[in-house]
Amino acid sequence: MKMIVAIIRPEMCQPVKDALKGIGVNGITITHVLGRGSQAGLKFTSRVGEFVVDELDKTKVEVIIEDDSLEQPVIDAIIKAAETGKPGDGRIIVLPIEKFIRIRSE
Amino acid sequence: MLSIPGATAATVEGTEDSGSISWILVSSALVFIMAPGIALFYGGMLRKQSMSSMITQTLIAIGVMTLTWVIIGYSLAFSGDGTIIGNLQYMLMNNLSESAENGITSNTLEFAFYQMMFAIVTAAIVLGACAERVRYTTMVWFLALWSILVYAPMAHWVWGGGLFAQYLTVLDFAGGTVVHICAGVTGLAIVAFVGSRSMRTRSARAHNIPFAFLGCVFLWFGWFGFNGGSALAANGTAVHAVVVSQIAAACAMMAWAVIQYIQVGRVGVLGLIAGAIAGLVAITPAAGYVDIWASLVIGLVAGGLCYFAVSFFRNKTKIDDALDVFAVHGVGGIWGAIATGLFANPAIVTDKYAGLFYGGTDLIVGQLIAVAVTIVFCFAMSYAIIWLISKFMRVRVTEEEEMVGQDLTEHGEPAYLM
Repeated sequence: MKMIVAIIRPEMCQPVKDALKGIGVNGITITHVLGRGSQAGLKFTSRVGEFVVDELDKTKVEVIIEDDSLEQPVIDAIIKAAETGKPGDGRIIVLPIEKFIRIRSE
Repeated sequence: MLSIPGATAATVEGTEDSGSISWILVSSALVFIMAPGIALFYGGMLRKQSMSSMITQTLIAIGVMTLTWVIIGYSLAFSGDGTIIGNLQYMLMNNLSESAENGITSNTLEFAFYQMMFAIVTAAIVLGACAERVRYTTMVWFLALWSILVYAPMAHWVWGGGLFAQYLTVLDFAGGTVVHICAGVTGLAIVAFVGSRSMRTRSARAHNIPFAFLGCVFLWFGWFGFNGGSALAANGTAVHAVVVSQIAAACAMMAWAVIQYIQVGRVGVLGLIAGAIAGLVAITPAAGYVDIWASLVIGLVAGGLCYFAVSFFRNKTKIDDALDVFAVHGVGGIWGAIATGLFANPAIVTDKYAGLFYGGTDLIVGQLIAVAVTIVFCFAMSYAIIWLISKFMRVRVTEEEEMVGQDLTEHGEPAYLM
């Protein structure tokens, strides 16, 4: 079992949800998060000098897949839906899962 | 209404009427509160990253419009008998009287102050259309030029004895064309020039519904001064205007609610407040001229018309009028101006102008021409101003600035800590 965590642009949340549904993945957890990437935020120039905004709005999508063969299709679907080609498109992290317990049926 | 409007003065000419003086002072204060109300109304409907940006823009609009109005705007709007523009007789508010004269029951300084509030509110309404994409400094320059090149001529044409008064049979009680059509079309012109916001910003939801509600309440509250004060005396016309304003607002809100319920299956705060504003806008030009039953009709039609206008502009056009300023103020104002031409009752109108339903045709023709002229003039002139400014400075925020929000990138003051 794997957990796939994707940090994406907020406006790409709906396309990513649709893409995941398209490959049969329905269970997801969505969190609105703040963060920065390798560029360390955005730099702006104002009349009084430069300043950096390093807490940018992002959306975190977490998917748990019971069948490891779904790993690559999920990653492909997220990339296809969330990519704009510009900095700030986000990251995908794949984690192993130690235990996976459904609350209702235990 | 005329420039030195004796329209409905019930008292003896030239006699100071402290009741009227106090009512116009109170009305001025009521209209003033609409401007900060707009900051809450608009700010609440935008993303949380744009809240203090909207407050700052509204405050600077108060500053800019007050100064230009005092220095030159009032004089250009309300002096002389020029067709296009007035003269400099009242520059810096010179030669204004602090005691009653010229047949009005209050005085000219008070009238200039009351009209200043209209100029401020009109400017503030524009901000909602082009929110979240025009740079702050650009907006300041735009408003300064616009107040002289667009607002002052418009006020002169309608109320100052200019173009419309000279060549047309036109009624505009409290500013349907000068304030609402003008603001809506100006917003549209800026949006046409600068373009849409990014998909992310466009699809964002209102961040604070209670603020939007509070702002709407300030607007509704202020509107009693906006329409009631436009009688320019504490008299029956003022009472009539206030009563029909309430009726039209409630009718439009109810009409919006019913249509939204039928179409969408539910009713919410943002729909109800847009409906109320649509009714208030539509009754504005007609408030002193139509019967109570007509105000019911005007309100009901305004609610329905503006609902479909909002849905049309949102779904069928690429225009990104952020807060539906044209769909509500523009379309509502156009309907109100036409409705004045339909329902004006010569028994109520001092100059005995009759609407179409009372057998008059001059008025409806005049109203239609005035609406068309207002739309063409405000669009062309506003577009020219923003184009001119773009030759000297950057007009639009960058994509990154828009994403992070103007609160931070332009003002360094986010409205909320998180």
